[in-house]
Amino acid sequence: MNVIETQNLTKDYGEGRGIFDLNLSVKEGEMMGYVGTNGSGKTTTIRHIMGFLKPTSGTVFVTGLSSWEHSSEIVKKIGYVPGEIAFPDLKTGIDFLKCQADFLGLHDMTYANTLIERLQLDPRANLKRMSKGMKQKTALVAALMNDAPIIILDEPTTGLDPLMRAAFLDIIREEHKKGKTIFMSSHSFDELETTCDKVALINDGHIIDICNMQDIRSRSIKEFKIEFHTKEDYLRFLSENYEKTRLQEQYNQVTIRVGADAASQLLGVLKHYNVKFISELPYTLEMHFKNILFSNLNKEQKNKTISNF
Amino acid sequence: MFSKALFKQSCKANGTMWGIITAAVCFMLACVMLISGNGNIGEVKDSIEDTIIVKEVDAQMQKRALSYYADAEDGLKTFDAQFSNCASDTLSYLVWCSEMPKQTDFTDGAVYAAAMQAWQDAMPEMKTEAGQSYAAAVTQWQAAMPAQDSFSSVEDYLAAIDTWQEASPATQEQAVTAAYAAACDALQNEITQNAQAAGYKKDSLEAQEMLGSVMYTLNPNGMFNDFYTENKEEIPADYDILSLIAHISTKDIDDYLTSDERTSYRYDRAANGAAIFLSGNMLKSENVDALMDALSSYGVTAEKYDSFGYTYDSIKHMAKTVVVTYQGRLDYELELLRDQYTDGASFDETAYQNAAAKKKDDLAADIATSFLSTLPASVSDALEEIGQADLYTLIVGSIFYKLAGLLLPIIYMIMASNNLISGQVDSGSMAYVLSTSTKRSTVVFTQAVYLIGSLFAMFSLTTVTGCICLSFVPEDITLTYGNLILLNVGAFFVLLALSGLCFFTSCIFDRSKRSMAIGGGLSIFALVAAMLGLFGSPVIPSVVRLEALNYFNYTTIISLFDVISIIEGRDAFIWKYAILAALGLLGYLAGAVRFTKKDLPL
Repeated sequence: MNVIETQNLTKDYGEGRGIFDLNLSVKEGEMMGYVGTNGSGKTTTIRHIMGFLKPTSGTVFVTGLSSWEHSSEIVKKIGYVPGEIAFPDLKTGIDFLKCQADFLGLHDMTYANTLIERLQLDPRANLKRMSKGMKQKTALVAALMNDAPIIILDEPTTGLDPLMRAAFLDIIREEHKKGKTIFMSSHSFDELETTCDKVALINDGHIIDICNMQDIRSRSIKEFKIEFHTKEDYLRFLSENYEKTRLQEQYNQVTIRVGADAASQLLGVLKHYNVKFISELPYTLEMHFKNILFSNLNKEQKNKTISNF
Repeated sequence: MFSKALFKQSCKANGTMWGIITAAVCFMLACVMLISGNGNIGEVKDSIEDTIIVKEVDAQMQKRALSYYADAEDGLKTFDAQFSNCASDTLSYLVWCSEMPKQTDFTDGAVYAAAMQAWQDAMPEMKTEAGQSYAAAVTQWQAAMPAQDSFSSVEDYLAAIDTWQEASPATQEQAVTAAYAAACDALQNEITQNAQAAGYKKDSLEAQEMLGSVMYTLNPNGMFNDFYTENKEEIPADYDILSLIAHISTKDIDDYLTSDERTSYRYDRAANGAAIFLSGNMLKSENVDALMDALSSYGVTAEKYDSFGYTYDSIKHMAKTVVVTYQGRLDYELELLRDQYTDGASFDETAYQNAAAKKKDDLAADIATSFLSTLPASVSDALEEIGQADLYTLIVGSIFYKLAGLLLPIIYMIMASNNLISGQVDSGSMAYVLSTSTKRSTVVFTQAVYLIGSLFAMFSLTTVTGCICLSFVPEDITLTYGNLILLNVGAFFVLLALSGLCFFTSCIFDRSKRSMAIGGGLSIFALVAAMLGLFGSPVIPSVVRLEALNYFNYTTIISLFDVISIIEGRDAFIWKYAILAALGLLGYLAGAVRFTKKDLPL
């Protein structure tokens, strides 16, 4: 069952800005990453999911309900961490969390307290004087404390130091393990790569690709970069029958692409060479999207040249 | 519909500002009410008021002095004329009687009879009643001469003749007394007639005064010596009739009556009499009361009158001064008139008399004129207005409740309405509220309730403060508790209307800057226009009023807060309040509808 589903979601702000014809679906218990450059439309999409914006056309369904019409019902099931952290005009973190608990009708604060401990948050601090990281933590506690089945996070890790970011992601991963549906936007490929089941790429308001992380991790083709001590070895290697993607003669480096099963065979071949180092170039999400963007760009340019004729 | 949690949050977020502003408004109100209530305002107003009143009292007294003087002078003139006529008659009869031919002077009976006949024929005609009755009295007396036959002895007869002689009216003294009495009677009749012609009843205070002013001046036979001694004045010499008699005997009485000598004698006598009569009268409470009645429109009280320190001497001095001024100017003016009506040798007597009478009235009015009427109408109106201005109500009602008392609540209202919606949308904190299944309609309703409620609470506290302060101020203040409460209600409705506007802009704009600029800007404009308009509004005394600024009153909805109608107890403010409330609620409603339907960048 799709917990979050957008159908031809379009919000046109004019001048090409906005989101166009978005089709996304997030299954129950799934963790979906949402990646794109600044201004590509991530936040707009999330606002539509929350029901804060009215689509120009298309619909967003959350647990089967249209989110614009039933905003107040669907948000009950959502824990939301906004991209821009701005708290209400209250004194301390505790005030804010208590106030949120009031809104949610939540009386049992034990889970909130465990979260606070986990995040090493001092909620007594003055909201105005909190650092970006503390604010982010407070916002996360507020979003998670009522144990909502869906969690939506808008760039939750920006501004966090690496350690904190790891702790943050740990907690999200834990929630995911509990079976919660998570939708998280980011502009950092790494963190999505390690945590998400699925990642959608949005660029200029259009979904470019939705890929399954499983496919990327278990890709059948691998790339290796090899450097030789001598020019002779380098030249000799070129004559081997491999698909070479990059040659860097000045360093005696060569990058080749082989099937996953041919890796051991490659090592056998390299025994006969004086190899300085060999390293696998992992196929990352970043590379994946870059390739797609690059090919799209080429297609567009071709189209342009055609239309120019 | 209503979220308790959100209401609590709004209270926490805006509570401090609310507290500070409410305390400041209450403090300001208390200062205004207590300080201006303890009489430190309007010293200038009081002195202007006193000046006007003193001038008015002076004018009233001068008017009285002049009318006493005119009455006295007229009366003396009448008396002179009447006395001269009567005395001429009686004296001429007396002379005629003394010229009766005596039988002893005539040897020839026929000659005596002829002389007797000639004498009888020469009997002067008695033109006046006094003369006739005097003649009758003399004739009767002559007829009553004792006859020698009825007496047995010569001694008895001589004694009877002596008695008869002593009772003789045919003496100069008797003749003059008869004339004097007749002249007094005639004078009294004429004054009574004049009074009736002027519309006063015979026994009215005014008629008595007219009579008094003449009679006290004339002081016949020292009848009113008591009046003079009571006021510690010298008893004036008897009214001079001797010169009149002298001139009757020299037959130039008509010339003498109009001569400068006699006229100036009458002037002096009348001036002295009128001054003493006035100052004596003004010490009597019933006369003071009459004066107070005439000046009641200026709010003159007996205490106030006493505080001006009028004394017998000061009144007398003032009266004399004004009479002298009047007479001096009248002489000069009459001289001019005489020249004007003299055309070569001919002199138009009737035209001159008419013109002279008119000139007298004009002069009297001119000299004893009220202070206010000497000024141009607009200036006198302005001074009178300042004298009557109710400064306390002006300060509390208009200056405080329409300006100072609105400023801080408006600032609070602008900031709060902005914080409640657009501020939270702009910063994004509204997301926390809306992501907790709180409906937008609940949010907007709760925030509206908070805003209206906080304003209501603010003005409830100023009402309480105002009522407490009012109980401390002196009682002579015209501001009532009811009006004070209505003023607070009005200020609340103004804030309701303006907050409707600000709430509306707060709901439609995502940017709090824009919402603040438009809603707040328009609210401040309304207040500033009301401030400027106040300087041109009719509540400000016209001396300092700037009429041109009144146009601002047509550009601001604060004008619907009709303080004047509340103070004057009219009902016009009710429908104006209704408009304010309706505008405010409309703003809230429109804002709420818009907020539930718009995109929120959260």
